[in-house]
Amino acid sequence: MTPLIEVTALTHTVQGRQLLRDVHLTLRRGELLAVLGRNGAGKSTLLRHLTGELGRRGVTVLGGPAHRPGTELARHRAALPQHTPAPFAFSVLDTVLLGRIPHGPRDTLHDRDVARACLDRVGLRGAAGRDIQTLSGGEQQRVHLARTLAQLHGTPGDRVLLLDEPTASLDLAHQHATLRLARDLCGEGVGVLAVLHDLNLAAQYADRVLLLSDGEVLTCAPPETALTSEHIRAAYGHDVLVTRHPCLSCPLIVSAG
Amino acid sequence: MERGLPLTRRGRAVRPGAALTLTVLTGLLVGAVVLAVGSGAVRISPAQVLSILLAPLGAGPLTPFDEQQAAVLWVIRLPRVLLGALVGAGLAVAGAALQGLFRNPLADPGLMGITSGAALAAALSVVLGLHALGTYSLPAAAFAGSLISTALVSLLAQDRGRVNVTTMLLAGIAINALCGAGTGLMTFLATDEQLRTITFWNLGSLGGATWPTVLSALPLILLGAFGLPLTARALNALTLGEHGAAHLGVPVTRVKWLIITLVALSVGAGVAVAGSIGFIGLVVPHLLRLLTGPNHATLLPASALLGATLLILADLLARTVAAPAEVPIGILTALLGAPFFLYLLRQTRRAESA
Amino acid sequence: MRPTHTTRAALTLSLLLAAPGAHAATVRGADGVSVSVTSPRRVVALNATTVELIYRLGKQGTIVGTDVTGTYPPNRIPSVGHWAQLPAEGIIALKPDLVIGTADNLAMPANQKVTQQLRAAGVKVLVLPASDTGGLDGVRTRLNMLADVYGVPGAAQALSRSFDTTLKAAQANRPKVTPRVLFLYAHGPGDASIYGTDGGANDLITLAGGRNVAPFRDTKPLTAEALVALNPDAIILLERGLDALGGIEGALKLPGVAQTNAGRQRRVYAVDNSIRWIGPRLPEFALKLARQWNADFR
Repeated sequence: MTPLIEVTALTHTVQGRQLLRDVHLTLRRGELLAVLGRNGAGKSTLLRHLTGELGRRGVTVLGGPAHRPGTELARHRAALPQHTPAPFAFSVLDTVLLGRIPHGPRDTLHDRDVARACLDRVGLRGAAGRDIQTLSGGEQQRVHLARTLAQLHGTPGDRVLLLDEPTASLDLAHQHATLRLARDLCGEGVGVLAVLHDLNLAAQYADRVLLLSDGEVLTCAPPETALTSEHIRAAYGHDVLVTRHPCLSCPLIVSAG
Repeated sequence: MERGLPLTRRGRAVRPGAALTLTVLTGLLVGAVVLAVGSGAVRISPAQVLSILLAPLGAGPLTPFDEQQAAVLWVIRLPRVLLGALVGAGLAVAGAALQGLFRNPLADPGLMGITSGAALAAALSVVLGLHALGTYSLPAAAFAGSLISTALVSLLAQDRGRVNVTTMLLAGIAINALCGAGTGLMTFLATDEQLRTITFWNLGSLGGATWPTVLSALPLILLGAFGLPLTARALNALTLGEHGAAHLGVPVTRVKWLIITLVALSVGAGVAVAGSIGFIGLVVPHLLRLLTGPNHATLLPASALLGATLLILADLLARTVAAPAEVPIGILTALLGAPFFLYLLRQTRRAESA
Repeated sequence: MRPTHTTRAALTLSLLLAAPGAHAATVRGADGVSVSVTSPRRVVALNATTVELIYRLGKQGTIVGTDVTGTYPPNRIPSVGHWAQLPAEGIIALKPDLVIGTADNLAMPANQKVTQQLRAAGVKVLVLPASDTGGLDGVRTRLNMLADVYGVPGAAQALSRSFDTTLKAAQANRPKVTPRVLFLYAHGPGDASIYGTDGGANDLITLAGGRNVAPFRDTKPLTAEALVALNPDAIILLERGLDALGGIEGALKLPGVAQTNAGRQRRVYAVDNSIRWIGPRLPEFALKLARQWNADFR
């Protein structure tokens, strides 16, 4: 089966600096791939290639270039940036409805139902009528997650969800709720690529972890194999202790000093 | 209790639906047209207005009227009210679209250099005596000037075909300053009479409205008034940022050029025939956004309707408040628009801190 | 309101049936359009000189409206606003049976439609020749056209003869030495324009026995170098201009003035604010100025 995303030998140089160097990755159907690395390791640049903001050869998303125009691709690939501006006082529901734009020339009753269902999935059903500018940063982020869900909703065939630090402004319970939601989507066949900063979240939820260090792929493997103290020291420059989680069958990473 | 916006309580947006809003605004526009057509320095009663309008259909007059009243209605008032509706609609819908394009509720057509380019071209045509097209020389020059300066601003803001909105803002400031300097030079070189013409042009007026004027401005303004609302969904998507909109499949660059072109054509046509009229493009969408929400699918058509209504009413005031003399309309829109805008800003700030 | 039908046929009929004493005339305007008038009773007189001339003909009772310049002789005639942007409907609302304007005002870009609109509404518009050029002859032409309109040839002739009398007096009172003169239009302290050889100021200077030394036709901004190079013996300003500058002392502070003959000798003269439009008081303004120069330039 062809992977949803295929990146081959991707190199990105800007003013002499190599932000990415010979990066290979694949994203398969129903898989949650976590991209980790310290600040400046190239995670955002990589993500921007996958969303099509940067158009380089060697990046194939759903069978074609990442930056090809059109609503067809928009129905199959959704991206959640770290920050989304809110210059106007759109309602929460109208914001989620923006995700339905690729699905038709106007918003139908069905679109509104989909939007409400997606809000429900992120736990914000009651906020549908509220002004998005009045929500906290974390709540706004969840609204935009609901929007990406609405964008992918109902599309037949392969779907990809790209998340850029989706848990950054969320509290503990919501961090886990979000990743559980991501896993549910994987269960529905969606390929999810998430840039994360929390090693333990990656360890708990990801199928595979891609560790970036200075623009290069250090390792790309399941958490048990990828998240070793050597790899983490190389990638983050910090000593950690990797043990087994007492209740869940995944690695547990704690600081060693 | 703190008085906030009447429709928004504790962050919960309670707004009238699109259908209701547009119906009410259409009703207001019709009312304004009726009021404006029936009022003026020359007294024509409502029954006479009806009789005059129905006369071409062969219907017998409900009330007798004389030829002069009929002439005033058909030749002076009707084209003037229609021109007011067109120019007001064009300015307001363009303002709404630009506020969406710049993602900033303080944007207005003047940012793109349309008005200052037109003013400079008008001044040039007056001072250098460019009369090749007779009475149409001045509006033609103004229109050409508005297109040239907008094209300049757009070219400066574009890079390999893509328009950078921030650069556009800065380029607009620069071109506005340049055109202002040029106009200043023309003012300096002008004779007394030429100076009066330039000054009055800058104050705006619907007094030059004749049927040929209306018909010449009509196609371009309607193009903007009907074309810009078609970009509403794209404008909604643009509030997520340009990359966000692109991810939704919106052809961002194409939409930007389309909006810029439609704004330039419709506002350029309006400014060419009516001179410089300010505040409509800024205040109308700003006010409507507070009342009906920021969804551009409603905001754009609503702006067109309310802009038309307000300009008609402002012109009615302009030609009746000092009768038989007339006040230049730009003065009224500024006198009424500026304080109202300040009031809106206060209300917005109150609502935000509530 | 009773319906009236003002077609040409009806007008001709009414002319034929006109009671004796009513005066009918056809006057050809400066725009080539001839206007038939019968003892006009409601006239909108645009331009200061039109109003003045009608007053001199004794027909001021017919004036129902004027523009902002129609303030002499002092009156309470309603104003339709600025001459550069006349309102068609406003003028019609005054129910005029004749609108009289001058070619210079009606040719302004903002007014070009107004004449058409007025005529389309059945209002007669008589366009007099321009009031800002043409000298005293232009005044006589306009005077005669107005006399035709009102049927008062006698009053017109009397006025014309009084022009001649005053001009002769001005001639007799001319200064022995012809002063070199410049007209300055003051905008504010330190800022003025020099007016050239087109316009009422030029006629005034010439009739008063001076020589306008401005080497151009319309207006140029005042610079110290220009003024010193031209070195006028006399400088004239409008009364309101001189007031705006703060009297003669202020005028002497304008760039370059103090270095000219006029400045050194304090030869600064104020003239009536209305001279821009050439009207029936031109001869008396010229006489007054001639007398002042006669006293100063020996």
